[in-house]
Amino acid sequence: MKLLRIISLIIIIVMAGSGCSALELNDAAIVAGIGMELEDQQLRVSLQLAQPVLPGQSSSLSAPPFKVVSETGRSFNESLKKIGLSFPREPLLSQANLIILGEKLSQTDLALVADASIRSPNIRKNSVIAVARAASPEEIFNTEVLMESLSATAIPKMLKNQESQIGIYKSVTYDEFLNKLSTPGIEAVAPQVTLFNSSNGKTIKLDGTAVFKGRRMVGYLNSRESRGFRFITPGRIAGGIINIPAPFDDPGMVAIELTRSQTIVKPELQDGKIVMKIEYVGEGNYYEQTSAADIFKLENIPALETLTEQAVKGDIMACISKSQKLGSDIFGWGKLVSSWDPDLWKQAENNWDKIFPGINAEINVKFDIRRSYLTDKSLVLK
Amino acid sequence: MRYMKSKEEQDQADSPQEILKADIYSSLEDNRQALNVLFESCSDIVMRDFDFGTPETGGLMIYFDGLVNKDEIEQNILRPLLLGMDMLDTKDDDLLGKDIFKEVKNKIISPAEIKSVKTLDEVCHHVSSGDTVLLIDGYGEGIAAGTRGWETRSIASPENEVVIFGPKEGFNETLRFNTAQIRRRLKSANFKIESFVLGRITKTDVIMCYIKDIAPAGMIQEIKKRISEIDIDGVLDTNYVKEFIVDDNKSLFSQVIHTERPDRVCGQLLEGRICIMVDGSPMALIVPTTFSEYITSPDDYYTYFIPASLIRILRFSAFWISLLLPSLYVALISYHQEMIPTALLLTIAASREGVPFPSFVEAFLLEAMFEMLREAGIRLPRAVGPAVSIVGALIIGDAAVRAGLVSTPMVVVVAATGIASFVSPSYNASLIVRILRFGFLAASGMLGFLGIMILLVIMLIRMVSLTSFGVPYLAPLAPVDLSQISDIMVRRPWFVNNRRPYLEGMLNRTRQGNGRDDGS
Repeated sequence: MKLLRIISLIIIIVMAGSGCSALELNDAAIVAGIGMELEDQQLRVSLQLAQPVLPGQSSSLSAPPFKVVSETGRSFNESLKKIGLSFPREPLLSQANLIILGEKLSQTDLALVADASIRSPNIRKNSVIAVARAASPEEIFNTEVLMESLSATAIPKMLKNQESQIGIYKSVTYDEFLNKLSTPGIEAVAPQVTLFNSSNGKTIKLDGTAVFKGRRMVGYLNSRESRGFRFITPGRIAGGIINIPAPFDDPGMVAIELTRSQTIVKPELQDGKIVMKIEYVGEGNYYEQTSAADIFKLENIPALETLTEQAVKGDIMACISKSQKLGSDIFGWGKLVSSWDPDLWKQAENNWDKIFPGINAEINVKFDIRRSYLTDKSLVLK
Repeated sequence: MRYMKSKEEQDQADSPQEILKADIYSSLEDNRQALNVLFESCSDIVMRDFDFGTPETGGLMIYFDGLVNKDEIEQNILRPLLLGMDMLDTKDDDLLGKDIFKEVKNKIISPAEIKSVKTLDEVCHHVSSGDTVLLIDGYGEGIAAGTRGWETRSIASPENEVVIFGPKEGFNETLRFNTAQIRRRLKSANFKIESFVLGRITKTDVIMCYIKDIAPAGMIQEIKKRISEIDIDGVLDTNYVKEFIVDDNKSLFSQVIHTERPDRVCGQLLEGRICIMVDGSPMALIVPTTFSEYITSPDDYYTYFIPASLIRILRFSAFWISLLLPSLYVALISYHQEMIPTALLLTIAASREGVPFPSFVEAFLLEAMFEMLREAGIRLPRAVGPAVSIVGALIIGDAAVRAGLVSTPMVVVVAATGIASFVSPSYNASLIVRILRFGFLAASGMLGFLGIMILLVIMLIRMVSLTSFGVPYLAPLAPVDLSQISDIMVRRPWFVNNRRPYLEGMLNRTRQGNGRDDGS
């Protein structure tokens, strides 16, 4: 009986305490994506709300299965809560898989939203981040995507698929993004989304990687530089196509599929100057050729490998020169230096902005071609 | 009480209570009068007067009609006395001067079981049990002859403990047949059956059986003590005994195994446990028991160990599903929506659109409805059973969803829970799970996952603190017994099952070989 009393006391205390209250799905709206943009010096928050669809009910005939609600306010939370003035349900932010930062906001100051969004328990830290380019987040959310009902679920999928297929952009989670923003010695990047007119009407497209410096976006990498960024990032990556010109004066192209690779970046001191040593080891498959010549022979493979190495090296160099031009250490070289030689970093930290653009990189690329999809000879057309 | 007593004293001469205390009179006439008072208004009593032998001696035979095998009385008692004596004893005056009682008891009547009785109370007890009592004029003693024979249910396979492989026999309502079924499997003098008589009015035979040298002696003493302390007017089923003898009789968790299967009883006896049975009930009690009852079934041991182990794992998951699924679902959709994948949440949200109740109420209603259907299914006459299940399925499964009272995923959850709860091999265990499920549902409705966790912790605390006849309820999981833990999650193959599960005070743990266990 005593136990029973204690238990009922616990239940009463816990129930009286605040914090945890039930939210029925009938009173909630499922948010698929959160957008933030600056508009007339005020924050505009847009939510893409997914409309529940019963399985078996066709949705294509009626209106698109989402609604976008937006509101402007002086702070992130003010804008968010103001949505309640015109909207009867509580937005379930925790379901949002995509956060889109507006171009203007990114170029102005991310501090406007960073604190609110990292403090909120409802914003998923593992959601994917993207920066809108030449369009507002609201417009992107309002755009219909082919074969997918919501642009907010489509963009993470597109990022994931292209990474294993063509291999240009790296998907960045919100957590990683905010971490890089707040860590000295490394700058944040995020893939960009834009709108373009296709044969199916207006649709969204991944285009470029936004480069931040401090709290601001300072520029972007084009697709070649983005590919280089993917190669240079320490760690293992897999997937993607590397196009190389066919050897031996052939006008065609050869495509190599990247199956796995590893990059190791190490700082080194040469004549009192910091030099980054980048070791790239990759493996790939011979994927296709666009000419009729008999290229795929054992004696040609070293030549193909060399060409691939050159292509990878070229991408990496393009990326390095762009980031040095923008003055943004997106590779985290500063962080590498600080863990390699903390004393050196202490000296360099304050004028890292000046040191970084002048750092030389020693790039060693080693690429092996392993397989050829069981077709061991080129298809020679006669 | 005082009033009753004084009234008794007034007509003490004839009161049955007084008569019961008396010894058998030597005069047959006195006995007859006393018995007439005792069995007044018992229309099924048969008292047969007869004279036998030379010189003619008066005899009285008493039995209850319907409890005895009349053929046996005729063949083995009446015929030898009336005819046999005359035919066999050619000499006259054969009985003259001899102890007629001894002569009759030892030489003439021929039932296999015979016992002399001294008091009228004993006469009453034997007659009520189906024996025939023979009184002889001039002797203050009677002969109780075992002539029990009544109509019984034949041995059928137990309906509540169905197995695919293994023996199909079950107990029935006659205690002797049941003990015989066990004895047939345990051909050892070490298999002991101790009996008690319980119930002031019912005078029910209760037995406790165990294998000497395996079952812990202390436990046997303790159970004996607990059984003999029972003082109740009637014992109609083993559950009467159970509620008196378990360690914590207010606990929700079952501390005994109920079974109708002699093979299961034998298996448990071989592990040093003790079985209690009651005349008139086909259910045997096995003590002590542990949590393993929730997931083990006798046919685990009759199936090859690999499929048996996998099925045991399946049962273990079904146990958790039937305990927690509805509460987890309610917690997820009303507190922790972030844990549901968006696509699934959209479907759930769509089907919940327009449902007027909070999901907790919805789950509670459906679960209660399901329990009612299940209970109705047990009581229903066979002929209407299918009709009710169709109506139930239609009402719950289809019409309620169409009417917008409940959502489709909730129906799926409740149905899955129902199926999982039928996986439980023990009806008793599944009853407990069914009760707890509602507790968990309420907790999750109030506090979400936090509530479920709080209740789980409370449940675990209760379970670890519970003992069944001194054995921790969660053994061998807590306290950990490494050598036996493998026989809980999976079914250990017989060829490595060298030792019996540990019981405090157990004398012999060796099952086979030198008894060394591979696991420890």
